[in-house]
Amino acid sequence: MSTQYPSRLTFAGVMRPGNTVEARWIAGHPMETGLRGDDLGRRIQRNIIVQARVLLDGKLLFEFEPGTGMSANPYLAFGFTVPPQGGVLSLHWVDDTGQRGSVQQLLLLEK
Amino acid sequence: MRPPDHPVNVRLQWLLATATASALSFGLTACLVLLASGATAQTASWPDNPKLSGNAFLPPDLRKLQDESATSPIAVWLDRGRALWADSSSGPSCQSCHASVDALKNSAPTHPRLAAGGKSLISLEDQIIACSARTGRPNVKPEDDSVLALSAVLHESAKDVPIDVRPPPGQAAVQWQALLSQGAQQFVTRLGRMNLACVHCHEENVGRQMRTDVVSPGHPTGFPVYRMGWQRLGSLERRLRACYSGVQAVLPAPGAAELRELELYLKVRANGMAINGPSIRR
Repeated sequence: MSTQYPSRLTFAGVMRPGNTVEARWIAGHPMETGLRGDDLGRRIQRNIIVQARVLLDGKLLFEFEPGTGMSANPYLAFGFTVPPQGGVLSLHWVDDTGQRGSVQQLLLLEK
Repeated sequence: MRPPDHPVNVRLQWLLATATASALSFGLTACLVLLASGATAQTASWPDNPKLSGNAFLPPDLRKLQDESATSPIAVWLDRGRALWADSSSGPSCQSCHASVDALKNSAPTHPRLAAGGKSLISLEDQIIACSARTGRPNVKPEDDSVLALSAVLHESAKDVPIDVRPPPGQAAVQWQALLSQGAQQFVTRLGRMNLACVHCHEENVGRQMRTDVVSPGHPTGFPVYRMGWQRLGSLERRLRACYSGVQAVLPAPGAAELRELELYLKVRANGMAINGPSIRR
């Protein structure tokens, strides 16, 4: 079984140029804080998403560092302005083990 | 409190006679609860409807989260399960034997079943682990992500299918009946430092407040559940073990026979109720 964590990126709002639309991202990542012990009292290795970057048509919108305060299966919602010709919104992240993941969605303009 | 032997006898006779959910005892407890509780606005349909899913007892915010497939953490687990269903990287995929998930939609409502030897019971998760071992994933353990994700997609495909756990045909029915009686006995056996049996909360005090929670009848329709406290999906077995912990009893080992027998009794008790898992719980 691969350890690829599933993630989803969805939109809420009317996808028209100039509109502000909410993007919602959720990932099935354990976000292990490194502060917990297992049943035998051994420290569980920290494994959180250390950095994530949000790109709109390949240009950086923003980047963020979730930290240990974010729960497992992290969820993030943010607004962005739809560009005139539509485009692609993508989110790329990397965690403590060096594993990378990304998800992207086409911005389908409504008439 | 009632005399300890009275409810046991009533229920065991009932079970042996009908092997279906105990409508009579529900009627009795319904009267008790009616007398006992006034403030149950959230659960107005209790006690008129004793076969209520745990969803009816969810706080509105969690209910909303559960219904929003885009943002619910369950969606991520379903994605993982669907990917695993078609994953053939370590051996034959689930798909190669079972075709689509929908072909197994009667699987979740009919477990636990008698194991091949006819002595013990296997739950749906046990079956998933056995299948994984057969198809090149021998190290899969209970409560692994992969097991729960596959259980989640199987329950999703069984949405609205009524639970239908029946005795197997032929001689095996005798053993099945014995296991069911064991489970029924456990349902009414006092446990732990709290000295409580399942029946004391989940039949006699349904609809009443326990700290911030409203006690539900404990029907196993919504499993596997994403419990906010766990921050992950968990099987019915894990939920039952959490109950043992709640009444401060000795925890049965994972996969213990008594957990399977209790699961069998709970499923039979909920026969006819629609599967509505996976779901979110506090």
